[in-house]
Amino acid sequence: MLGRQEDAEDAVQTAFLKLYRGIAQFQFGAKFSTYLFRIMMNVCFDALQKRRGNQPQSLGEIEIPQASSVELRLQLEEAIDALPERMRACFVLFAVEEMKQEQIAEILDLRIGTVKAQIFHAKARLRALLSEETLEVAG
Amino acid sequence: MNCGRYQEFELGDMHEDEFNAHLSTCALCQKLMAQDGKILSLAKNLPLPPAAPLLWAKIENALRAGQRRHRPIWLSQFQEQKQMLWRIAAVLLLAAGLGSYWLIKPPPSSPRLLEGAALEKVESKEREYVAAISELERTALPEMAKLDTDLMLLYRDRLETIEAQIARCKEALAENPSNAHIRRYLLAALQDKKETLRELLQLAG
Repeated sequence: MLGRQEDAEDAVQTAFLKLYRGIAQFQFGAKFSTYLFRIMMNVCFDALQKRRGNQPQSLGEIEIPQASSVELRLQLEEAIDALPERMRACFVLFAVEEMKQEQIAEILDLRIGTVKAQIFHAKARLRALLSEETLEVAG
Repeated sequence: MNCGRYQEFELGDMHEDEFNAHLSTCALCQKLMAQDGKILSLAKNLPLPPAAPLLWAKIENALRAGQRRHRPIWLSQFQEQKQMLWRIAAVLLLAAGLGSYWLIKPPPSSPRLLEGAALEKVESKEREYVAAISELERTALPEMAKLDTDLMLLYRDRLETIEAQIARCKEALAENPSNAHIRRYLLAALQDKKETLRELLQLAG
């Protein structure tokens, strides 16, 4: 989600601190993993917001060369990093964390329809970034 | 080639059965679906970032630091100087206990020590008892022989016990004549002896 190991570690640390301080607000009827992911994602969004401006990234700036096998994964990671934050969050939770769309909606406080649209558009963008030839190699 | 059915299905606007029926006839939707399947498969198999062995230690440190930051100043100071404060508390507790004892306990002089007129009054009473006892002894003791042996022995033991009690009181009073407690015991013993002698006299008579 953040694309950098050190940023991810900082985010995990911040999320745990927030979890520790706000555990009293946790409603025990809710799913704990959802609560934790929600905190985690908010921390990620905050981190990305702070980072924004320092490292502008857009889809147009990402160059995806023809590649095979291992390199393809790196390209996919870069392509995922290039997705808009909310879209990336939906895609990562859906494709990488393999969460259900309903749970993603709960975590990100979005409507289910929005989550579906975000995932669909994320896939469309990734399709566009990773050319047909590249995807053929992956297949 | 343009077909929006795949998007409709993905956004939940088309039923799965309907889409599957369409899929068998639409090459574009098949292609898009296959590509998305590959993307999802690749994403699912993305390598996990390397484990960060010090991450949890960092989190623990941060949590502890956070606790220290959010702790009131007085509590932090208390934690730092806990040993010293416990000692001070113990000394204060001891001082408070002793202070309370001295405040609560009755003054040693007034009730226990008889002085002046009170002492004279008590001594006068004792003299009265002693005089009465002497008079009774003169008349009662010779009559004791008239009692049966068991009763006589019983009264003799009782009188000896009372006299030993009187003797101990007099010894103590020789050292501390103003001690009200001993005076009270002495008066009680004298009264007991007087009553015993009177009882004896009645039994013998």
